[in-house]
Amino acid sequence: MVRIKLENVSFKKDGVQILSNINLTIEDQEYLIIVGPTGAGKTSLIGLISGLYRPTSGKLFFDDEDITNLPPNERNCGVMFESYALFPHLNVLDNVSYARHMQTNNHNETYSIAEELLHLVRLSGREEALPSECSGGMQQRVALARSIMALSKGGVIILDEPFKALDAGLRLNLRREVKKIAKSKKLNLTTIHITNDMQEAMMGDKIVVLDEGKIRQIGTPEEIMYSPIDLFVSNFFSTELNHFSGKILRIEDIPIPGYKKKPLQKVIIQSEEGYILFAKTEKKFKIGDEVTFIIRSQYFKARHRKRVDKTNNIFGTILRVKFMGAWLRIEIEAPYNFENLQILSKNEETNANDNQYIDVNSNPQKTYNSNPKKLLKIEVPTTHIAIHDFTVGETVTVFYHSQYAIVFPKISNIDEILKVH
Amino acid sequence: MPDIILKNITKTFDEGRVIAVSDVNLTINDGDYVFILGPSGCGKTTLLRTISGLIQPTFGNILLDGKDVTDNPPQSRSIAFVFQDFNIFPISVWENCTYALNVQGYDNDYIIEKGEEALKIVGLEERADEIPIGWGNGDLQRIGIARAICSGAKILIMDEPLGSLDPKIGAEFRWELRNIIKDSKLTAIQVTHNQEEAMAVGDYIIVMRDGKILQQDSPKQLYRFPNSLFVGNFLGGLNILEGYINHINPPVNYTTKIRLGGPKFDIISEKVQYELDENVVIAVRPEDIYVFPNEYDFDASETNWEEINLFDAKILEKFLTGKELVFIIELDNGDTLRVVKPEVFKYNLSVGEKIHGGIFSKHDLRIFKYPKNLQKEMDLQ
Repeated sequence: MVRIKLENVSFKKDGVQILSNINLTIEDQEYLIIVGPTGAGKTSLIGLISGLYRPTSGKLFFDDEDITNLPPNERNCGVMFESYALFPHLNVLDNVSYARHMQTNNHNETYSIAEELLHLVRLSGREEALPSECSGGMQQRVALARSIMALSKGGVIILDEPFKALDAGLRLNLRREVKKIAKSKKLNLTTIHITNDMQEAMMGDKIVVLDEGKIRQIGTPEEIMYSPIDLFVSNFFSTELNHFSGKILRIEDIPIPGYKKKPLQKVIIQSEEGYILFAKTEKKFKIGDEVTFIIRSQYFKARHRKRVDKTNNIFGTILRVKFMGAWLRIEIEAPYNFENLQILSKNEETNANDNQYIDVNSNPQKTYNSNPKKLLKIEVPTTHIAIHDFTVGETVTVFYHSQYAIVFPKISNIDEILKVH
Repeated sequence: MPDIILKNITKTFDEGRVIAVSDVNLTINDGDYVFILGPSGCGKTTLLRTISGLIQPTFGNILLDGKDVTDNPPQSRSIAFVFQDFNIFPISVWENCTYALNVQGYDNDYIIEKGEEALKIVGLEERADEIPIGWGNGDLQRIGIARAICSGAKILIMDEPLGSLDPKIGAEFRWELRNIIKDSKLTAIQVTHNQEEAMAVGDYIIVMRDGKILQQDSPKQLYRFPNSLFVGNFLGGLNILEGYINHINPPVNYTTKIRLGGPKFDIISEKVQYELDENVVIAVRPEDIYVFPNEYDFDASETNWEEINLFDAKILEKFLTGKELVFIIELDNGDTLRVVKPEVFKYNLSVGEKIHGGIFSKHDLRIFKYPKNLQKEMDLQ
């Protein structure tokens, strides 16, 4: 039973501010992910929780006990490092039971607890094996069992980038396995798992997004994915994203409330490239607002013909197609959308409402002539029901459902934020 | 004109007791971007070192541009390296970039021309005078690449060049790296442990194990038609089911029955002939398994489901991995399959729910001879 609480925790190392004002509660038996880029302060944060470091200011609590000044060995908290750090000369069973042998003389009991743990991590029958005889996945389970062994029942386990050194395929299986062990009813563990990989982050009950020593957002995987608080978080949780900037022309209320009963609105945006695009968003914008919105590459669908008579459609020419296994990645160059605007305003058969969407007062060419072509990056599934052969040079129309656009007030330095350093 | 040809390359260590590379024949054409994949100890690093001349092969010959260079030293081979940990010196970007040319004593005009060109390609021309301390890993690797290009080499050998970058940054940087290689008309050979990266940007992929090349193909061919269970599984998790040949409809139509009360699948296999009752393994990619709610009306659907193999299943687990939704489903006989759908999935299926599963035999099911050691064949280490 451990509930962890950090109150206004700040941490300086060699005069450099690493963490600032961290407030965080980790519930008992929760599987918490701390995710962020290199240098975000992840390792320092777990150093504070495990007791390797003392905070410069602020307090830490395990349950309601103030542990800010408690040494690491009195915290009921174990760490599993990326490199496993197994003793090469000890077999699996002795690696797992080593620490407890040092602490107590009841060796039979120690062995029986170790055996039970090895059973839990599916290593029964391999007690005699040396680490060098174990595969990477097995070594990791030994390290996990050893870290758990050091805890009295229901402690805190910290996993520091546990899958970093492993092949992608192996990682997928191990993630499930490790979470199952950590969540096992026999152990009652509270787990903190550090990673810089967004896919891995999704396995958490809750995710903390850390950047430059500050918490950007805390939420469930769904909250982080669908309601990212800013561009940084949405970019981190996208394989690739497309961004548009524009002006809100029209707003419609949506009677059905969204996530956590928040009222929604549908905004109709004229983008800088002349597209008329829809987005469903929490109710916070008004007509005329300048906005930036993002659409992740996987939310687009593509069709083989040019279509200019509908809103939320963008047509363009395929520049590049790349097979990536389950997904096909397509780069599309979309021209400035005069054609779309003209047809929408002239075509009498178009839904009468559509005419109101067009901002007739502004000459789009005059207003936005800096970015005449838009590069779209989309991904479509490769399954044989979904796949069409897309070829370089062909014209396609892409579209998306408005609930998948994420809208922010206009971000002017977007390229700077998204730049790869 | 083929750029790199390896003929019967074998490399043994420890007086022949350890065979690192075994009789490898390989042709890499001018301008190709090639990836070598394989579990640790498969011989990929030894093969790279042999090509670059850092080690001598025990047997065999290496031809570059038609000339036998087997006995030539590395510096004569027009090869440059890009490393995982960058190996950047704490001197200015410009000095890092032109270091090799300076040491080799080229004249100043030539060095300036080459250096400026290389820094422009990687987008660092404005930062040439900076000392790259505290730079992000992406920018550090840009210097590494500029240095390799600046040397005038025609062949780049890259050992995990994106391995030190955050996954998010690496996933974007890979497209930039590909553009640089293609725009500069370089031949590149890259080792990675990230299969997705190899498939995304490689022209083709070589899969190695135990010192041998198992398969060499385009990403699509390799992914769709692996020549072994190992290759298929290594390229991205494969679902496998053990079964036996239940019925043969000559010449290439087989019905396999999954053991212990599992479903039957119709499969077409044009390459290998199987016998009745022969033990086999069938394999399917997670994204090629379809899942439907129990009440789904196949007749009313617009999609043509005629050739699909249907079976009953139950959902055991369901989770998001970012852009994908994963289901673990259980067949009646207790076998489990991993199903991957786009995150935007039309049916709301919940854990514990009974569903229909379906697999298109012709397109998506592969059949393999039962291997001697199935566990070893599926082991990714």
